[in-house]
Amino acid sequence: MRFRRAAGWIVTPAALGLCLIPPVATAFFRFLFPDVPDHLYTRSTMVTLLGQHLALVAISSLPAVIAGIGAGVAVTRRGGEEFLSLVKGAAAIAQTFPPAAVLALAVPALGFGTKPAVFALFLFSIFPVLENTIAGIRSVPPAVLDAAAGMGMGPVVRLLRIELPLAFPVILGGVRTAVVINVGTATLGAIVGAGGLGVPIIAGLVRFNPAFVLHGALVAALLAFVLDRSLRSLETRYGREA
Amino acid sequence: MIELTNVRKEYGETLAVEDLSLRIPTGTLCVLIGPSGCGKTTTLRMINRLVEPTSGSIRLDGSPVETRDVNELRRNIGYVIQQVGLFPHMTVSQNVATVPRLLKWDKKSTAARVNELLDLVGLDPGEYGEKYPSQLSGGEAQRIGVARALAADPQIVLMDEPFGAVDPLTRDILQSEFIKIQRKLKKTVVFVTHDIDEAIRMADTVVVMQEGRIVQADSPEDLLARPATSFVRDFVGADRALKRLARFAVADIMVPAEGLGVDLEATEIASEYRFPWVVDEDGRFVGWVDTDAVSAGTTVGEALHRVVAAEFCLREEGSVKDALSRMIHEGVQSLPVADGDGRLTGSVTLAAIQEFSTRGTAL
Ligand SMILES: Nc1ncnc2c1ncn2[C@@H]1O[C@H](COP(=O)(O)OP(=O)(O)OP(=O)(O)O)[C@@H](O)[C@H]1O
Ligand SMILES: [Mg+2]
Repeated sequence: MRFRRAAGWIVTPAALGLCLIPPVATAFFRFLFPDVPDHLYTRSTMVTLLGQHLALVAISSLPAVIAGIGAGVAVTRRGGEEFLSLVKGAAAIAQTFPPAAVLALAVPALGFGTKPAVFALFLFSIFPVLENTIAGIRSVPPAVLDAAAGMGMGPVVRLLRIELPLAFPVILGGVRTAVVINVGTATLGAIVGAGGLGVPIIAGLVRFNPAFVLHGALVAALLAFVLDRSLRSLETRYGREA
Repeated sequence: MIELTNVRKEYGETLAVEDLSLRIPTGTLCVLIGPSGCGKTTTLRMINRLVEPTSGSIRLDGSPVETRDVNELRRNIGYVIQQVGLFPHMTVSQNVATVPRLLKWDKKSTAARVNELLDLVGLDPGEYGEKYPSQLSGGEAQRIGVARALAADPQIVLMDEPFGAVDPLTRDILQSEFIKIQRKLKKTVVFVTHDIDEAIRMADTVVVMQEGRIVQADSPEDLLARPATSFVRDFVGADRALKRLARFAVADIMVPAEGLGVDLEATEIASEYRFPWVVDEDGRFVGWVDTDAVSAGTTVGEALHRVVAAEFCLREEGSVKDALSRMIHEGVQSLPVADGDGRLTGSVTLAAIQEFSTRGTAL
């Protein structure tokens, strides 16, 4: 247990940090792939690519979180139930689309660059947030809501002081899922010229260089792990209080 | 004063409450009782507008509830439910402070009020204030539920089976504590229950409902003495005479009695009774003397049967039902009544209980 926690908080971020130091990374990949001519992607630094990647994830996740929570709240209001299955259905369909196809379809409309990537990532993050928002709000015991209403809390006060705080850990779980999925999916952004950690992966594919592929993939995986850890700890901290 | 006039509530095809009229005077506790689905909860929830009646009017001190802002109305009406419904993410103090916070009281008076209420429901503010609801027992949670409902000192309190989910022992304690609180605060309380014993114990007025209508509204004593219909008679139970006796105190039927002060060395005793009661020089109950034994030649001291006054004597505030039970158990026709110091203050006889019981029923 202690070891696993240490692995989560020290080993993974440390590994991520080491991957970003060029001489360390070069040495590591030379050891793994002695026959490959280049061991380090040099068109952009890994730090820059990581920054781009994080920006893609953040710019797409933030509006998705807002939209997901907003839609989740809306369909759990009185009179919103009719839209519940509709909204859930729409989000589920968006989710089942292959990300590559969404990207391909978005390019004619939005052009190359970050726009189609952000759009696709946005679509893919809404569903887990929405799903968990609905589940979280629904998990509030009816007696709690009845007591709140009976004591003179209006619908807005009830939402802000009771429903959202109680649903918060569950919603955060949805946000975490969305972000982790997004970190992986965002590597596809390189296909449409959005930059990010997908760039060395594609370069490695084109030039038959496994070191580039592994480097990009490794940083993305470690990033996903670190973000997952941080959000999870936030959830449990909040969940324990409640 | 709560006045319901010709109130009716339909849920689609279901008629939950039918033409119900009821007046609940200020400062009294009215219990709504009846079988499941008879409309108790619906009636209760129409008073704070959690349910809107299909027709009829509900007035609080003359003003119709529908003319008031719904949240303002509810903040002025305490609300307690069986499942308690404490907010799990808030501390006990924050839960109790709910309505004061909605009413925008300042922090200091809210905190003072929270402590006052925790004391009132018998929980130490220092120990419980910062706990979360998940750390409370069922009984403690419901005390907090009551404290929360009373926080802003509402004149009206609505309680829907508040003690229905706790074990019988805790329920008994919560009931007597609430009776004490009610004696002190004199709220206008509407109290829903399934439990006839609870109803009889708590109520000033018991309203028996059946299929959305009131079948009888009476004081517990009158309800037990004269059930209006066979439904009510069955509902209150075959032991209604005993239940009724539980409503009266020994003080209601006791007659003055005097104990004999005796000389323990004496060899004769003058009493009209076979077993006269003996008191000491301070009037404290000591026991009784077997006069036949004294006549047969023993001293009064040897014929004296000593008892522990606190255990043997009835207390004035005890119930007549308990007095009767003691008589049957001891196999006696009468029992002494003593005060807290054991001083004899009177007596209760089996004949008096019987007479009292039949007189009430025939009235
Ligand atoms: N929201 C609702 N929608 C439809 N029917 C309802 C609703 N609330 C209550 N009813 C119906 O109205 C009738 C009275 O219900 P109510 O809850 O007032 O009964 P009750 O006396 O409180 O019963 P219990 O002792 O089981 O709590 C029942 O037949 C019930 O099914
Ligand atoms: Mg009910």
